[in-house]
Amino acid sequence: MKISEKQKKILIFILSFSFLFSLNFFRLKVKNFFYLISAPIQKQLWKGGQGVAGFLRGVFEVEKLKEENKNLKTKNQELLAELFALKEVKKENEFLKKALEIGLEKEFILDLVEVIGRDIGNDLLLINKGKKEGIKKELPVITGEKVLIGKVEEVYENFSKVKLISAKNSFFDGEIPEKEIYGLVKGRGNCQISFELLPLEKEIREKDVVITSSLGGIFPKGLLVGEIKKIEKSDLEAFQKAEIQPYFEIDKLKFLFVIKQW
Amino acid sequence: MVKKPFILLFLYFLVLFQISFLPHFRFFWSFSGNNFFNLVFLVLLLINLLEKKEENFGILFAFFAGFLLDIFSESFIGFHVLLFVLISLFIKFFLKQYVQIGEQKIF
Repeated sequence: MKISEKQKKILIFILSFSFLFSLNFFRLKVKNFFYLISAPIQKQLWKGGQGVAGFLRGVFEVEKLKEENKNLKTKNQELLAELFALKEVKKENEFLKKALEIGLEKEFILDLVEVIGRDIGNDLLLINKGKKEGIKKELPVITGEKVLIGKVEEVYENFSKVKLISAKNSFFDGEIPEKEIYGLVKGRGNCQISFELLPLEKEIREKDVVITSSLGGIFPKGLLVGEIKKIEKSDLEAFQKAEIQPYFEIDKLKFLFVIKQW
Repeated sequence: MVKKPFILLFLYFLVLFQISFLPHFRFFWSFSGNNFFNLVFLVLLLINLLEKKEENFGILFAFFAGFLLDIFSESFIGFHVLLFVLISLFIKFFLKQYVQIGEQKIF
Protein backbone atom coordinates (compact mmCIF):
# COMPACT_ATOMS: atom_id res chain seq x y z
CA MET A 1 0.00 0.00 0.00
CA LYS A 2 1.41 3.29 -1.09
CA ILE A 3 1.03 6.32 1.19
CA SER A 4 0.33 9.58 -0.58
CA GLU A 5 2.19 12.84 0.25
CA LYS A 6 -0.87 14.30 1.93
CA GLN A 7 -1.39 11.22 4.11
CA LYS A 8 2.28 11.32 5.01
CA LYS A 9 1.94 14.89 6.21
CA ILE A 10 -1.14 14.11 8.29
CA LEU A 11 0.68 11.11 9.82
CA ILE A 12 3.68 13.26 10.75
CA PHE A 13 1.31 15.85 12.19
CA ILE A 14 -0.52 13.30 14.35
CA LEU A 15 2.70 11.60 15.51
CA SER A 16 4.31 14.93 16.38
CA PHE A 17 1.35 16.02 18.46
CA SER A 18 1.09 12.64 20.15
CA PHE A 19 4.76 12.89 21.10
CA LEU A 20 4.28 16.45 22.26
CA PHE A 21 1.26 15.74 24.44
CA SER A 22 2.99 12.68 25.90
CA LEU A 23 5.74 15.02 27.09
CA ASN A 24 3.20 16.36 29.60
CA PHE A 25 3.73 13.15 31.62
CA PHE A 26 7.36 14.23 32.15
CA ARG A 27 6.51 17.91 32.14
CA LEU A 28 8.58 18.80 35.21
CA LYS A 29 11.69 17.06 33.94
CA VAL A 30 11.38 18.52 30.41
CA LYS A 31 10.84 22.03 31.67
CA ASN A 32 13.66 21.71 34.19
CA PHE A 33 16.04 20.69 31.40
CA PHE A 34 15.20 23.77 29.32
CA TYR A 35 15.34 26.07 32.34
CA LEU A 36 18.76 24.69 33.21
CA ILE A 37 20.28 25.44 29.83
CA SER A 38 18.54 28.82 29.49
CA ALA A 39 19.14 30.18 32.98
CA PRO A 40 22.47 32.03 32.30
CA ILE A 41 21.06 33.80 29.23
CA GLN A 42 17.77 34.54 30.98
CA LYS A 43 19.65 36.06 33.92
CA GLN A 44 21.54 38.45 31.68
CA LEU A 45 18.44 39.37 29.70
CA TRP A 46 16.49 39.98 32.91
CA LYS A 47 19.23 42.31 34.23
CA GLY A 48 19.44 44.14 30.91
CA GLY A 49 15.67 44.52 30.77
CA GLN A 50 15.61 45.98 34.23
CA GLY A 51 18.27 48.55 33.39
CA VAL A 52 16.84 49.65 30.06
CA ALA A 53 13.27 49.73 31.35
CA GLY A 54 14.32 51.75 34.38
CA PHE A 55 16.00 54.31 32.15
CA LEU A 56 13.07 54.50 29.71
CA ARG A 57 10.55 54.69 32.52
CA GLY A 58 12.43 57.74 33.81
CA VAL A 59 12.40 59.34 30.36
CA PHE A 60 8.72 58.64 29.71
CA GLU A 61 7.62 59.67 33.17
CA VAL A 62 9.50 62.98 33.29
CA GLU A 63 6.30 64.96 32.75
CA LYS A 64 4.51 62.99 35.43
CA LEU A 65 7.44 63.52 37.81
CA LYS A 66 7.48 67.23 37.03
CA GLU A 67 3.78 67.48 37.85
CA GLU A 68 4.28 65.44 41.03
CA ASN A 69 7.23 67.62 42.01
CA LYS A 70 5.17 70.77 41.45
CA ASN A 71 2.34 69.42 43.59
CA LEU A 72 4.75 68.41 46.33
CA LYS A 73 6.36 71.86 46.31
CA THR A 74 2.95 73.51 46.67
CA LYS A 75 2.04 71.12 49.45
CA ASN A 76 5.36 71.77 51.15
CA GLN A 77 4.80 75.53 51.03
CA GLU A 78 1.32 75.09 52.47
CA LEU A 79 2.69 72.96 55.28
CA LEU A 80 5.50 75.43 55.95
CA ALA A 81 2.98 78.26 56.20
CA GLU A 82 0.90 76.14 58.58
CA LEU A 83 3.99 75.33 60.60
CA PHE A 84 4.93 78.99 60.95
CA ALA A 85 1.37 79.86 61.96
CA LEU A 86 1.49 77.13 64.62
CA LYS A 87 4.87 78.36 65.84
CA GLU A 88 3.43 81.85 66.21
CA VAL A 89 0.50 80.48 68.20
CA LYS A 90 2.94 78.52 70.36
CA LYS A 91 5.01 81.64 71.07
CA GLU A 92 1.88 83.58 71.91
CA ASN A 93 0.76 80.80 74.26
CA GLU A 94 4.14 80.69 75.99
CA PHE A 95 4.03 84.45 76.43
CA LEU A 96 0.54 84.33 77.93
CA LYS A 97 1.51 81.41 80.16
CA LYS A 98 4.45 83.40 81.57
CA ALA A 99 2.19 86.38 82.21
CA LEU A 100 -0.31 84.14 84.00
CA GLU A 101 2.45 82.68 86.17
CA ILE A 102 3.37 86.17 87.36
CA GLY A 103 -0.29 86.94 87.95
CA LEU A 104 -0.38 90.03 85.73
CA GLU A 105 -4.03 89.47 84.91
CA LYS A 106 -4.97 89.90 88.58
CA GLU A 107 -3.22 93.28 88.87
CA PHE A 108 -4.16 94.87 85.57
CA ILE A 109 -6.61 94.73 82.71
CA LEU A 110 -4.36 93.77 79.83
CA ASP A 111 -4.55 93.57 76.06
CA LEU A 112 -2.11 91.33 74.20
CA VAL A 113 -0.43 93.06 71.26
CA GLU A 114 2.16 92.06 68.71
CA VAL A 115 5.09 94.17 67.63
CA ILE A 116 4.97 94.64 63.87
CA GLY A 117 7.52 97.37 63.34
CA ARG A 118 10.46 99.09 64.95
CA ASP A 119 12.02 102.50 64.68
CA ILE A 120 15.07 101.99 66.82
CA GLY A 121 16.57 105.40 65.93
CA ASN A 122 13.56 107.16 67.43
CA ASP A 123 12.90 104.53 70.10
CA LEU A 124 9.45 103.72 68.75
CA LEU A 125 7.54 100.49 68.21
CA LEU A 126 4.52 99.80 66.05
CA ILE A 127 1.93 97.42 67.54
CA ASN A 128 -0.96 95.67 65.84
CA LYS A 129 -3.85 97.14 67.84
CA GLY A 130 -5.38 100.59 67.79
CA LYS A 131 -8.52 102.60 68.43
CA LYS A 132 -10.78 99.74 67.32
CA GLU A 133 -9.43 97.52 70.08
CA GLY A 134 -9.75 100.22 72.72
CA ILE A 135 -6.12 101.33 72.83
CA LYS A 136 -5.73 104.90 74.11
CA LYS A 137 -2.90 107.38 74.25
CA GLU A 138 -0.58 107.29 77.29
CA LEU A 139 -1.42 103.68 78.23
CA PRO A 140 1.61 101.79 79.60
CA VAL A 141 3.10 98.92 77.62
CA ILE A 142 4.88 96.05 79.37
CA THR A 143 6.31 92.61 78.65
CA GLY A 144 5.00 89.37 80.10
CA GLU A 145 7.72 89.60 82.77
CA LYS A 146 6.31 92.91 84.02
CA VAL A 147 9.13 94.89 82.42
CA LEU A 148 8.13 98.42 81.40
CA ILE A 149 8.61 99.11 77.72
CA GLY A 150 7.03 102.50 77.25
CA LYS A 151 3.69 104.13 76.65
CA VAL A 152 1.31 104.52 73.74
CA GLU A 153 2.34 107.66 71.89
CA GLU A 154 -0.04 107.71 68.96
CA VAL A 155 -3.21 105.72 68.23
CA TYR A 156 -4.43 104.86 64.72
CA GLU A 157 -7.53 102.96 63.74
CA ASN A 158 -5.86 99.53 63.76
CA PHE A 159 -2.34 100.27 64.93
CA SER A 160 -0.54 102.21 67.62
CA LYS A 161 2.90 103.68 68.15
CA VAL A 162 4.65 102.99 71.43
CA LYS A 163 7.30 105.35 72.71
CA LEU A 164 10.00 103.43 74.56
CA ILE A 165 11.16 104.58 77.97
CA SER A 166 14.55 105.12 76.35
CA ALA A 167 13.17 107.80 73.99
CA LYS A 168 14.80 111.23 74.43
CA ASN A 169 11.79 113.11 75.75
CA SER A 170 10.56 110.33 78.01
CA PHE A 171 10.76 110.68 81.77
CA PHE A 172 8.95 109.33 84.80
CA ASP A 173 9.53 108.64 88.48
CA GLY A 174 11.45 105.58 89.51
CA GLU A 175 12.79 104.04 92.67
CA ILE A 176 15.24 101.55 94.03
CA PRO A 177 12.80 99.75 96.35
CA GLU A 178 15.34 98.13 98.69
CA LYS A 179 16.94 101.47 99.57
CA GLU A 180 13.96 103.75 99.13
CA ILE A 181 15.85 105.95 96.70
CA TYR A 182 13.62 107.95 94.41
CA GLY A 183 14.68 109.66 91.21
CA LEU A 184 13.78 110.56 87.66
CA VAL A 185 14.13 107.95 84.97
CA LYS A 186 15.01 109.72 81.74
CA GLY A 187 15.40 108.43 78.23
CA ARG A 188 18.61 109.30 76.40
CA GLY A 189 17.75 107.86 73.04
CA ASN A 190 19.26 104.82 71.30
CA CYS A 191 17.91 102.47 73.98
CA GLN A 192 19.80 104.20 76.77
CA ILE A 193 18.21 105.25 80.08
CA SER A 194 19.54 107.26 82.96
CA PHE A 195 18.39 107.58 86.55
CA GLU A 196 18.76 111.20 87.63
CA LEU A 197 18.14 113.54 90.56
CA LEU A 198 19.35 110.97 93.05
CA PRO A 199 20.34 112.39 96.45
CA LEU A 200 24.13 112.49 96.94
CA GLU A 201 24.01 110.97 100.39
CA LYS A 202 22.29 107.79 99.22
CA GLU A 203 24.52 104.88 98.36
CA ILE A 204 23.73 103.33 95.04
CA ARG A 205 25.38 100.20 93.74
CA GLU A 206 25.61 98.51 90.42
CA LYS A 207 22.94 95.82 89.80
CA ASP A 208 20.44 97.67 91.99
CA VAL A 209 16.98 97.14 90.55
CA VAL A 210 15.00 100.17 89.44
CA ILE A 211 11.20 100.03 89.32
CA THR A 212 8.47 102.55 88.64
CA SER A 213 7.16 104.50 91.58
CA SER A 214 3.65 105.80 92.09
CA LEU A 215 4.73 109.40 92.50
CA GLY A 216 4.34 110.59 88.94
CA GLY A 217 1.17 108.69 88.25
CA ILE A 218 2.22 108.04 84.67
CA PHE A 219 2.86 104.33 85.19
CA PRO A 220 1.56 101.85 87.76
CA LYS A 221 3.89 101.24 90.69
CA GLY A 222 6.23 98.27 90.69
CA LEU A 223 6.96 97.80 86.98
CA LEU A 224 10.54 96.70 86.30
CA VAL A 225 12.68 99.29 84.54
CA GLY A 226 16.21 97.93 84.66
CA GLU A 227 19.28 97.66 86.81
CA ILE A 228 22.01 100.17 87.64
CA LYS A 229 24.88 99.82 85.24
CA LYS A 230 27.17 102.78 85.96
CA ILE A 231 27.09 105.46 88.67
CA GLU A 232 28.16 109.06 87.97
CA LYS A 233 28.87 110.96 91.15
CA SER A 234 30.44 114.42 91.38
CA ASP A 235 30.91 116.77 94.34
CA LEU A 236 30.30 119.68 92.02
CA GLU A 237 26.74 118.61 91.37
CA ALA A 238 23.84 118.60 93.77
CA PHE A 239 22.62 115.16 92.68
CA GLN A 240 24.17 111.97 91.52
CA LYS A 241 22.99 110.05 88.50
CA ALA A 242 23.30 106.54 87.16
CA GLU A 243 23.02 104.70 83.90
CA ILE A 244 20.31 102.04 83.76
CA GLN A 245 20.60 98.83 81.78
CA PRO A 246 17.02 98.18 80.57
CA TYR A 247 15.57 94.72 81.15
CA PHE A 248 14.23 94.45 77.63
CA GLU A 249 16.07 93.87 74.38
CA ILE A 250 14.33 95.69 71.61
CA ASP A 251 15.25 93.08 68.98
CA LYS A 252 13.64 90.29 70.97
CA LEU A 253 10.31 92.00 71.61
CA LYS A 254 7.49 90.13 69.91
CA PHE A 255 4.42 90.12 72.14
CA LEU A 256 3.59 92.82 74.65
CA PHE A 257 0.74 93.84 76.92
CA VAL A 258 -0.98 97.19 76.94
CA ILE A 259 -2.24 97.95 80.47
CA LYS A 260 -5.74 99.28 79.94
CA GLN A 261 -6.55 99.74 83.59
CA TRP A 262 -4.73 99.47 86.89
CA MET B 1 18.35 25.01 3.95
CA VAL B 2 21.31 26.34 5.91
CA LYS B 3 19.33 29.30 7.06
CA LYS B 4 16.50 27.39 8.69
CA PRO B 5 18.40 25.92 11.69
CA PHE B 6 19.71 29.40 12.38
CA ILE B 7 16.20 30.82 12.30
CA LEU B 8 15.15 28.16 14.84
CA LEU B 9 18.12 29.08 17.02
CA PHE B 10 17.12 32.71 16.67
CA LEU B 11 13.62 31.65 17.73
CA TYR B 12 15.03 30.20 20.97
CA PHE B 13 16.72 33.50 21.81
CA LEU B 14 13.61 35.37 20.76
CA VAL B 15 11.53 33.37 23.25
CA LEU B 16 14.06 34.06 26.00
CA PHE B 17 14.01 37.72 25.05
CA GLN B 18 10.21 37.65 25.18
CA ILE B 19 10.03 36.10 28.63
CA SER B 20 13.06 37.69 30.31
CA PHE B 21 13.60 41.10 28.73
CA LEU B 22 10.23 42.36 27.51
CA PRO B 23 8.23 41.90 30.74
CA HIS B 24 10.09 44.92 32.14
CA PHE B 25 8.53 47.10 29.46
CA ARG B 26 5.00 46.26 30.42
CA PHE B 27 4.33 49.92 31.34
CA PHE B 28 5.04 50.79 27.73
CA TRP B 29 2.33 48.76 26.05
CA SER B 30 0.29 47.20 28.79
CA PHE B 31 -3.43 47.57 29.04
CA SER B 32 -5.05 46.80 32.37
CA GLY B 33 -1.74 45.27 33.45
CA ASN B 34 -1.78 42.52 30.79
CA ASN B 35 1.18 41.98 28.57
CA PHE B 36 -0.41 41.57 25.16
CA PHE B 37 2.63 42.33 23.06
CA ASN B 38 3.95 38.98 21.85
CA LEU B 39 7.09 39.31 19.75
CA VAL B 40 7.21 35.57 18.94
CA PHE B 41 3.67 35.70 17.61
CA LEU B 42 4.54 38.75 15.51
CA VAL B 43 7.53 36.95 13.92
CA LEU B 44 5.37 33.89 13.34
CA LEU B 45 2.83 35.99 11.43
CA LEU B 46 5.57 37.67 9.37
CA ILE B 47 7.23 34.39 8.41
CA ASN B 48 3.92 32.84 7.38
CA LEU B 49 2.82 35.88 5.44
CA LEU B 50 6.10 36.47 3.63
CA GLU B 51 7.26 32.98 2.72
CA LYS B 52 6.43 31.37 -0.60
CA LYS B 53 3.11 29.57 -0.89
CA GLU B 54 4.66 26.20 -1.58
CA GLU B 55 7.04 26.31 1.42
CA ASN B 56 6.01 24.95 4.82
CA PHE B 57 8.72 26.42 7.06
CA GLY B 58 6.11 28.69 8.68
CA ILE B 59 4.35 25.64 10.12
CA LEU B 60 7.62 24.23 11.45
CA PHE B 61 8.41 27.62 12.98
CA ALA B 62 4.93 27.68 14.57
CA PHE B 63 5.54 24.22 16.01
CA PHE B 64 8.86 25.14 17.65
CA ALA B 65 7.72 28.61 18.71
CA GLY B 66 4.66 27.09 20.39
CA PHE B 67 6.75 24.39 22.00
CA LEU B 68 9.25 26.87 23.48
CA LEU B 69 6.47 29.15 24.73
CA ASP B 70 4.80 26.12 26.35
CA ILE B 71 8.06 25.24 28.07
CA PHE B 72 8.46 28.72 29.51
CA SER B 73 4.84 29.28 30.37
CA GLU B 74 2.43 27.71 32.80
CA SER B 75 0.25 26.11 30.14
CA PHE B 76 0.46 22.41 29.31
CA ILE B 77 2.90 21.34 26.60
CA GLY B 78 1.08 21.52 23.29
CA PHE B 79 -1.23 24.44 23.96
CA HIS B 80 0.75 27.10 22.10
CA VAL B 81 1.92 24.54 19.56
CA LEU B 82 -1.64 23.70 18.59
CA LEU B 83 -2.66 27.35 18.56
CA PHE B 84 0.29 28.53 16.46
CA VAL B 85 0.16 25.62 14.01
CA LEU B 86 -3.55 26.21 13.45
CA ILE B 87 -2.91 29.92 12.87
CA SER B 88 -0.12 29.09 10.40
CA LEU B 89 -2.35 26.63 8.56
CA PHE B 90 -5.12 29.19 8.41
CA ILE B 91 -2.76 31.83 6.97
CA LYS B 92 -1.47 29.32 4.39
CA PHE B 93 -4.98 28.34 3.43
CA PHE B 94 -6.07 31.98 3.26
CA LEU B 95 -3.12 33.02 1.09
CA LYS B 96 -3.52 30.03 -1.24
CA GLN B 97 -7.21 30.58 -1.69
CA TYR B 98 -7.55 34.34 -1.91
CA VAL B 99 -4.20 36.02 -2.60
CA GLN B 100 -2.43 35.96 -5.94
CA ILE B 101 0.80 37.84 -5.47
CA GLY B 102 2.08 37.18 -9.02
CA GLU B 103 -0.81 39.14 -10.48
CA GLN B 104 -0.62 41.82 -7.78
CA LYS B 105 -4.20 41.11 -6.90
CA ILE B 106 -5.39 40.73 -3.41
CA PHE B 107 -8.83 39.08 -2.88
